[in-house]
Amino acid sequence: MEYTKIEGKSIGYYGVILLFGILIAVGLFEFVKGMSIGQEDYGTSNIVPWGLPITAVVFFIGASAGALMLSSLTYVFGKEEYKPVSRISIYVAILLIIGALSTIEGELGRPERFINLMVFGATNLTSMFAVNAFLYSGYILLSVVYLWTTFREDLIRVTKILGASAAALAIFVHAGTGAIFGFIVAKELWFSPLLPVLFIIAALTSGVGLLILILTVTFRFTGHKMDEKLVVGLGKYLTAFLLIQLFFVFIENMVRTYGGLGGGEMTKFLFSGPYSFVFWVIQILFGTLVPIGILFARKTVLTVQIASLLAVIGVFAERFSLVIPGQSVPPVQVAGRAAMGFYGEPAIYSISGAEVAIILGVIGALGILYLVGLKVIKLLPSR
Amino acid sequence: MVLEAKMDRRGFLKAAGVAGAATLGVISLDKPVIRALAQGLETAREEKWVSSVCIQCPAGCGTKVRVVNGKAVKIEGNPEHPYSNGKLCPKGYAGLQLLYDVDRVKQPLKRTNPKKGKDEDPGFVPVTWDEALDDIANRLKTIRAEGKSHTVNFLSGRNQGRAGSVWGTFMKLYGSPNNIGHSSICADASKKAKSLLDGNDDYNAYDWENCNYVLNFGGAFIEAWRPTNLMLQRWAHMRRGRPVRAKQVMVDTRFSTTAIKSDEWLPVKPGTDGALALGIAHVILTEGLWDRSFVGDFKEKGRKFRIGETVAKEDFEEALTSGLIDWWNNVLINFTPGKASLITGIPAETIIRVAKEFATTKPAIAGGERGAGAHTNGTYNHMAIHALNALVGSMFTVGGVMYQMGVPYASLSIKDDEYVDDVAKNVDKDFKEHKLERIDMAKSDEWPLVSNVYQNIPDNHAAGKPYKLSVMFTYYTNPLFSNPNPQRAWEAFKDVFIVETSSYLSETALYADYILPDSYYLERWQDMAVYPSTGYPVTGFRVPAVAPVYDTRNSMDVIIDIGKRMGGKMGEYYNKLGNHENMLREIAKGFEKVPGDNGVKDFNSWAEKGAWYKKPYLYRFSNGKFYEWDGIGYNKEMKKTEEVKEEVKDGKPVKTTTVKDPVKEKLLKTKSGKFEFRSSKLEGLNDKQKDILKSKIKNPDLFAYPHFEEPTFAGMGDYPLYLSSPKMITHAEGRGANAQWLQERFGIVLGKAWSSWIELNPDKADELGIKNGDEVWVESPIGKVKTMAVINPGNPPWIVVFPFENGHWNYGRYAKGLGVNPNEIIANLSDPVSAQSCTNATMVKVEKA
Amino acid sequence: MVRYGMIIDLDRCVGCGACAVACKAENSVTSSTPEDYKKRRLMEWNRVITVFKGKYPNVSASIMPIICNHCENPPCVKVCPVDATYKTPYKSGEAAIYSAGEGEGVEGGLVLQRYERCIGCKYCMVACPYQQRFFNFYEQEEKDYHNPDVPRRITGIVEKCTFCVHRLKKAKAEGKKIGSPDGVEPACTEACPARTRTFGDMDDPESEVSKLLRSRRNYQLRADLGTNPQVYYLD
Repeated sequence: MEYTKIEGKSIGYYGVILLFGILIAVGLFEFVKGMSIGQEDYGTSNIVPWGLPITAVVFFIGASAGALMLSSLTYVFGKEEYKPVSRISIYVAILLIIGALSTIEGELGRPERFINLMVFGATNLTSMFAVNAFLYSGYILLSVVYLWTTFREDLIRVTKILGASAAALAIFVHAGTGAIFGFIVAKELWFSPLLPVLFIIAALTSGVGLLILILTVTFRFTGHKMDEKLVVGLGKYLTAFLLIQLFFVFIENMVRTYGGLGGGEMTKFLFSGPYSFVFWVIQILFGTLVPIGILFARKTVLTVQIASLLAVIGVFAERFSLVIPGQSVPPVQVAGRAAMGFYGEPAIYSISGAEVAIILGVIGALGILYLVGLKVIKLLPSR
Repeated sequence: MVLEAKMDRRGFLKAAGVAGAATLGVISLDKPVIRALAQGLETAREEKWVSSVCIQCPAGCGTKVRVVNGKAVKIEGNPEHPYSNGKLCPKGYAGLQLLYDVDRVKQPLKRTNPKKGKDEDPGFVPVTWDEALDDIANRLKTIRAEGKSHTVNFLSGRNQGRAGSVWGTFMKLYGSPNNIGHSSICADASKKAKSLLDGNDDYNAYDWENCNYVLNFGGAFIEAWRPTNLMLQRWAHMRRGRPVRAKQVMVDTRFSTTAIKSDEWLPVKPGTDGALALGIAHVILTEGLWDRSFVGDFKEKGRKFRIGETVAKEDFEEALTSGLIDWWNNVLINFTPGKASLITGIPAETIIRVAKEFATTKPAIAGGERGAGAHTNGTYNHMAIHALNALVGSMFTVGGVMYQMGVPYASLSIKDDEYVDDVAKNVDKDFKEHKLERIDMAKSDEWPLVSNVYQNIPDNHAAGKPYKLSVMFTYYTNPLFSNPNPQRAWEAFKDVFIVETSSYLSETALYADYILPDSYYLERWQDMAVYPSTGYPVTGFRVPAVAPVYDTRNSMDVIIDIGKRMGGKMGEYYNKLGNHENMLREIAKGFEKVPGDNGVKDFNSWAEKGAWYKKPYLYRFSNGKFYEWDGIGYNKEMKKTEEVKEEVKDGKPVKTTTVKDPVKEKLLKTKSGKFEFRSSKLEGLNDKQKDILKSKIKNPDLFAYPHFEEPTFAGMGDYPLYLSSPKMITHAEGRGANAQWLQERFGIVLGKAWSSWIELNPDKADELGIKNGDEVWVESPIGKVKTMAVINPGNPPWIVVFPFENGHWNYGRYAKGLGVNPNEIIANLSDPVSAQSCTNATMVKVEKA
Repeated sequence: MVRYGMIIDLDRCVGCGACAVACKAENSVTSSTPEDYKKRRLMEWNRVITVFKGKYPNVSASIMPIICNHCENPPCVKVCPVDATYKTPYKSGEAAIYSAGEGEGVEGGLVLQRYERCIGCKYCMVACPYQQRFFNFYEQEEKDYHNPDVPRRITGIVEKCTFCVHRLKKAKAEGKKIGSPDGVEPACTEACPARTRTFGDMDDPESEVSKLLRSRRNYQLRADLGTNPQVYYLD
């Protein structure tokens, strides 16, 4: 298996880099503004303090974990047909986790104090954030070493071991992310042992989906030919993951319809509140059912691409409908009584330009890193 | 080869550390953290606690203000003041934000735009105090020289302590009868009702601490009934602070905070409180439960009143009441619980049960203020309510009602009467002879018994009847906002020269020709004799806590200054008087003779402690007799004494016997010296006054009795819902709209703030297709306004509750443009006896916007 | 062992909100504007809510103040990644890990916040079942900072009720008694006209709070969640 770099001299290449550069500028502008005058432009509030950036963080981590687990197909499970895309998957996984950390940084109230995470994190290991900080750092390190070993044909054994450990760590990483939410007693929609599992499944779905999209687009624009069998194979994996995801989402929410912590207000809000559109239409319908239908009907590169796009959007919607509606309803103080007005009404979170700007900035940075990586590292299969 | 992938953790940290430190450095410059660190290096910090009195309501709760380095940082209750006891209601703390409000008027202003209107820019330019005061003094002198001094009007709101007398003296010396307060838009019906029955033209004082049953007609006990702070304390004491828990029965038209916390809520139909009281009175008499030591008894023991059966006067011997039999025979005889139930909507069994409980659970108090009074039958409602106190023997007893004693201030050494010149004397003579009337027609034949008719001034001025005003001084009052149907004032006051003292840009300030900004209460000297409640006298003291933040002056000193510039005898008086602080020093001398319980005996000790008070209330009714406090106990019986004077007149020895009745002099100040169920004061009106009154009521034959007058509502028939406009506990008398701490938790029961709203019953809202939070139009015969609808699950379906606070044209950045003013849809009706403004007497309809 | 707790007697509470305003005044908590309020960014270390049941004519309501419950098993302390929120030790003399910050020397199990360490991740805010942690979205205006005894908070960090630890610290330094009825109390307790609240050491059997805890009316908010608040309500 031969890998190449891309030339990276065309106008298109520089044009896309410029575009991403603009996104970075926009993101940086909002970030610096937030640092100096506070997060007043965000759509978050004291009831919904976690908004779109956290959704994006969780999404990125999930996609990263999924992409990494996919690369382990080659080296750990020995499926040689996926070798062409193995390096790029690892690279994409590394980029995505870096993207997640950058988004967290952009979302912090005091970004300059993130050092405190390293210094004090070990003192409070009941905090999933702190645990995750160590997990993510280890994950990045491991993935980088893993990527490096794939360049060394002689270290194929090591690669296999690293691949396995990286995949295992990916599972822990994303289970850890799920545990951030799953361990919170206060939120009815979050407090569940199923959440880490759900997150892993969503990670796989979004990882595969995102990977399919990135790969097909990259191959197209760099003049390589995409192996249809490869894509269809990935599509089969995608179908499986979507089905499992549907199952878990169903279980999770079905139980809640029978009653829940605090009287089921949050479940009601999710199913029939202002964000029910996101839940039912985007996540369930277009994000899960439609892609499953497409993939069962026909598997071509195009249909797989479309299904992947829908699945990725669906997973993002799933993160959204977990994070936002999960916080919107103020927790019940006196069981069975409705708190009046401001203290009982659900808080409506609206997406603000500032938050979108931060995420776009991060995407811009990732895009540039990706393109530069393609040019500088031998990631693409030479065919 | 692999390049940047070699970025390992350490390298990452290094790079991040550098970047982070750099950013931190840049961002942290001038950040509060650095400033705070710097502050920690400060050594000296001058701190003191200054006595003051809160001004957010009429209660007069003493406060202590913490001042650090010349800046006020916290207001707390004064433990020395018997109304505060170290506590404050939420409004008290917010005074801090009003003091340092950046939108205050910072210096005297003069108007340059001659046009006045809601959307007119006044074009204020700053002037010096001397310019302004000279101009005003000259204007006043000119008016006086033209013989029109009576056209100058002083309109006041919260003029506490001696402020009232400063303004009163000014008007007296200047020569105008128009020293007009605002009590007619407050709760005058309650005061006048009491004056008609027991001769005391005042609010009751209450011995809540010992009361065991409270029958409350529309008084928001724990929201706005004054003195609010003390009421909150007493409530908690009555419920959990002593072995016997008092029962609270709330008679109200809405599910208020008090109704929520009471034991029973009786949701009466608006304006029918009097009927409920009469029904209860009927039950008390028919069940034989009246207090025989106060009221008296049938000569035939054991006899009770019977429905439909008249009683002969000789059959009943009244003790300290008079007119009971007439009242029974004319009013109560057929006013059964069933009849009361039909009128009020309260089930008859409930009325009977409550009446029995009220009469047998002693001591019991029947009370209420603006709720039952702000109707066209307000005075008669309150007469019926207050009569209940007499029937169950709660007058002047332990746990009953009484009246607030005055504070023994020394009089001023300079008597203003000696400086009244001929012009002023003539005006006063004309006024007393009814050749000259007040602008609000108070004390005329139309309104013989009232204190003022604040709400009619715009109409009277617009019509020029009795005359047009020339100059109007306003002090702590905002007629263009607080009047019902203020649109009349917007139109009428366009041609009046207004001198406003507010330090905030109120509506009246925007109409003013001069703004002479008053120092906020924390910046000035003032005394404050409390609102009636404890019975024993209390007076608080305001010591300036901080130097004036802006170029403002205490309005009382401003008036004294204007007075000095008036020349003549008036000028002499004011020059001799000096300033307001002098006045306070003089009146404080009265404490030398009567030192307070906490040792306050002069100006300095009064300033230090912040309150003078002397317990106990001096009078008590028990076991059928009135007693006075003799220093040890209520042992001195207040007996009638006969004074025989022998003198020689025209050479012949003449014996004159005068009967001195201390009870009549001090407590039951009626013609008969008793509690009169048939008011001699009303019957003592002259024929013309009686005719006018009788023409305004529906039962003219019963005009002297507490009876049920059917209330009139503006819009009845065309508009289906009753409008109620209560005050929330966070509402500071129309002067709190710019206090963020109050606005951000304005409606505690409904969890709504920073907006105005109307409350709707959930079924009624469904019927109208309105959901919680929808924008709605509220329309009355006067106009319509748009606001937010909120569902209050507790309110009856026939009522719309519209709290009063917002809708200002300016008043600061937080108040400007916020919400709407319910007064803009409230009709201007007045109770015929007390001139109480009937703000609860408008009907509305509500539509989705 | 000192365990500071608070008893709130809901039968006494008159729903006036003086506690809420006194707290804002004492702790210089940022005031809100109408826009902030619409965006649900009201900072209320102490809030008063009303809960309803039913509707006219069979309606009842309850008014209750809610503050940080200073839980014995605090979900917020568990989740803070930088240990910025911490619980002071019950035994005097024991120091919390690293610098104690504002609560230095004060024992009693108060849950406090190290403003200088907080990174503003808001994890504690979603963890609190009582919704009593607040994020500084704005830079505090100079006119909003009144009491020089409390530290200024900067934008981007989380803050909450401290049981007026600055008062307790001062009382300890001056040797004054702490706890109702005649000792130093938090501002809300001192301010309440209805004497709804009692503050003191729950481990001291002679203290007012311990005596009130003998009432059968006592309960904790959301006890089902296992947070074990140190704030008790009397029904």
